[in-house]
Amino acid sequence: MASLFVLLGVAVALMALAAVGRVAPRRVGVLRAGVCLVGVGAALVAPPVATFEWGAIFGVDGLSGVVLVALLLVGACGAVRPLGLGLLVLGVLAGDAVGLVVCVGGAGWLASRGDWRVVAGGVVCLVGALVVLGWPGDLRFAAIRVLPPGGVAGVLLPVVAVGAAALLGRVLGGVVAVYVLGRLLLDLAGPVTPGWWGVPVLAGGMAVAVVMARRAAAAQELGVVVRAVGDAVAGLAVAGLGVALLARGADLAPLVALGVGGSLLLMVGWGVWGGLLLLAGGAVEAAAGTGALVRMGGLLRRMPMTGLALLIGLGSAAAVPLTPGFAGVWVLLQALLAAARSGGTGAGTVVLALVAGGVAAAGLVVALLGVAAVRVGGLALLGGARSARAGAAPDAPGGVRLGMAALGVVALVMGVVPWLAMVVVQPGVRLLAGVAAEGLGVWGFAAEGGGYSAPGVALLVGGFAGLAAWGTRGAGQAIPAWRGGLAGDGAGDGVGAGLGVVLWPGWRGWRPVMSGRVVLVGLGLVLAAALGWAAR
Amino acid sequence: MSGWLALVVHAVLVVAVAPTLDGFLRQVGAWRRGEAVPVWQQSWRDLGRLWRKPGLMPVGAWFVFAAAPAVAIGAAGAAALLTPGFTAAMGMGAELVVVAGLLAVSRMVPALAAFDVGGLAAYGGRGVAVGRISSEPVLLLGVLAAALVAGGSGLGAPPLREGFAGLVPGALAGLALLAWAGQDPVGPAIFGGRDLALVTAAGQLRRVAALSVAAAVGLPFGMAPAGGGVEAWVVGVCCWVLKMGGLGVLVAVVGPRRVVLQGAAVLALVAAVVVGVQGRA
Repeated sequence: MASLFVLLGVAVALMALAAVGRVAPRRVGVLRAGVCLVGVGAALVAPPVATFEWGAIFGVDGLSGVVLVALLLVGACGAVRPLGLGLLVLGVLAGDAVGLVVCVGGAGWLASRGDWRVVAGGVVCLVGALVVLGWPGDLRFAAIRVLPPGGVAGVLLPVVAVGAAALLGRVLGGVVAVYVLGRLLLDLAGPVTPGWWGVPVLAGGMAVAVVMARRAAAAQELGVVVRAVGDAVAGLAVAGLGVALLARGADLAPLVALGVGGSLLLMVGWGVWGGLLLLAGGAVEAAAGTGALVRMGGLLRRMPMTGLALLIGLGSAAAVPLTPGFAGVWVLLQALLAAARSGGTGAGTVVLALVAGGVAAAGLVVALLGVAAVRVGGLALLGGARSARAGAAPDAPGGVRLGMAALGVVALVMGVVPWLAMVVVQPGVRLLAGVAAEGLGVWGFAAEGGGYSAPGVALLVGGFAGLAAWGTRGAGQAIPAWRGGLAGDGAGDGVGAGLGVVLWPGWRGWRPVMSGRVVLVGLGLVLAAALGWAAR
Repeated sequence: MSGWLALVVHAVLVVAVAPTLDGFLRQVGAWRRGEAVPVWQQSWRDLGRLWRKPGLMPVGAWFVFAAAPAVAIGAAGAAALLTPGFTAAMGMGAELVVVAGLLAVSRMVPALAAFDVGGLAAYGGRGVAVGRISSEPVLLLGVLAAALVAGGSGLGAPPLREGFAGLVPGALAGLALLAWAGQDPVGPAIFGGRDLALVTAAGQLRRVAALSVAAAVGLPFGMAPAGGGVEAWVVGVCCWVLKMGGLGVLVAVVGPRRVVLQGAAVLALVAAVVVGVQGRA
């Protein structure tokens, strides 16, 4: 109970900071980070499978604990304003429909910045979903969970729930979308739900992920890239919930756990490396005086710690092994594969095709985020400065550097020992799936016939790279830098437009990624997989 | 213990086969084009010649450029070690998602190094860069589709079906993977001396990893089982070397693009046949 009171105090303190910030804005950022970190600690030490204290308005359980960790970590890095963040914390802690709607709706209204129609649509959908779930009885979560929806309500619920998640997530971020979907469809709807509920969730999640990953790979502004990366990761997490719903329809509890585990792992990972990305991105924009990537360049030399933090965040976004972003993608892909292997979770060929499309979309998302990572890292951090301001950029303030260092250490440790993140996630998995995710141990994640052992991979890569570095030690022969055939300091601007132009202009922009052997290889392999299914 | 011993043997084999296979494929390519055929040790000699020269350090480059060759070969070497060779029962389980991720790292880091010294023009242009950077995740996509056939993303997993029903889709998946393996292993021309030797060797290791994955998915015969004796290992080594050579020759003779087109055509044809047969049944 103590952790609940701390979390409530965090919410109130955040809302109070909004008022203080109007009077003395200089230190509000540091105060907000401190308050959020206290909240993260409280969420982490909350009883692992605690359920709501029914009769009380607020409570904490496995799902809300995981979501709070992610929400407060990115909130500490400035993703949401204090008042909205405080309301969001209250909304996640809410134990009844009224509290959830009022708090999340209020936070959405504050964050909408005039575009109230999106928030209104999201709130209407959320109210609709809760009324469908709770009508005509009690609107407390405990009472709702006892009465599973049926008939028309069972048809309407996934539609309005997806609508609520999409609209509220657009304003408040992907973490909120994941929470809304997880709470409505996997928790409050009871332990028995139809498998087809997973179809719109999986399809919608993957569609959002692909669109946002494409935006991240093509955007010209660093801030747009960071936001798009967050939305793409949230799309993947929603897709994980879709897999869990498909599996629940077939009564495959271990597969439900894998889908939920992948989803929540992505969210916790986003809390850590997404926070790093937000902090470093903000510092880079402030130092360069612009968000335009083509006006940056060479910032790694001017601000090394910030640049390294940005590189860690970008690597995680691209699901590079040994980063915290890889583990979540790995578990999600295992869930998709297991769903396909289990015969389409009993739901027929259409669902099998959807799962295959999900695998393909996940590959495309990772590919596009890889392009985005190389492009942003190369344009913003490497090469020569392409503006006078970037050439004289100061490093981030000490407090920001301290925050980046702390998050960077956590990210690196989580990358090598992803089990640490699973410890945070498992209570939520148990709540939504009824069982814990299996095979995700301290030193590695097991899959059929193989697995991912991060320490082992680190040893292999480190061993090879160390030997190579030892063999090539010593300074190389200095030569003039290649300037792309152009003269002057800004000659590297041959890259300035860089990969973005390739991916930018509409459908034609996809051609380098989708053309030639790449698309044929993919089509051929999907066809081969289809043959395999047909042969069963 | 035998698993770790198998890993050591596999490491030695991979390191020995990668440049040798490259030299062999250069012979085949020169023969196909009607050019003077180099000796099979040519790749070893080129690597040795490069290794004896110091690396190049463009003015203004920083640690990203300096570290790129070591990281590239580290990731490529780890990927090659994690793919099954003469046996799937090695100390560390082979897993396709991890292999694809490591191959992606091996491609992404040289691209970042290109940005460090002057931009993507030095990497072959932005279109080439997009293709190179995004090719391994697309491999991931394809390999995962193949994994649906094989029964899981772990390459040590037994196939779900025996006989024709399991072999045909796997073989088709392996054939399509060959197209990916046919990519040019030469690294960007921004490195020199020892660094270029490392980046080139990383490309050769990536090709061996890709061919090993194709062989494991499409031609899963002859591999030594877990707990197999010396005889099984010898048979497994011979089969793996033959598969590498055979698949490599196939890639070199037909050429990457034509392999894809012809492979896709074959896939469509076989799909039509299989669907037709099933329809009759």
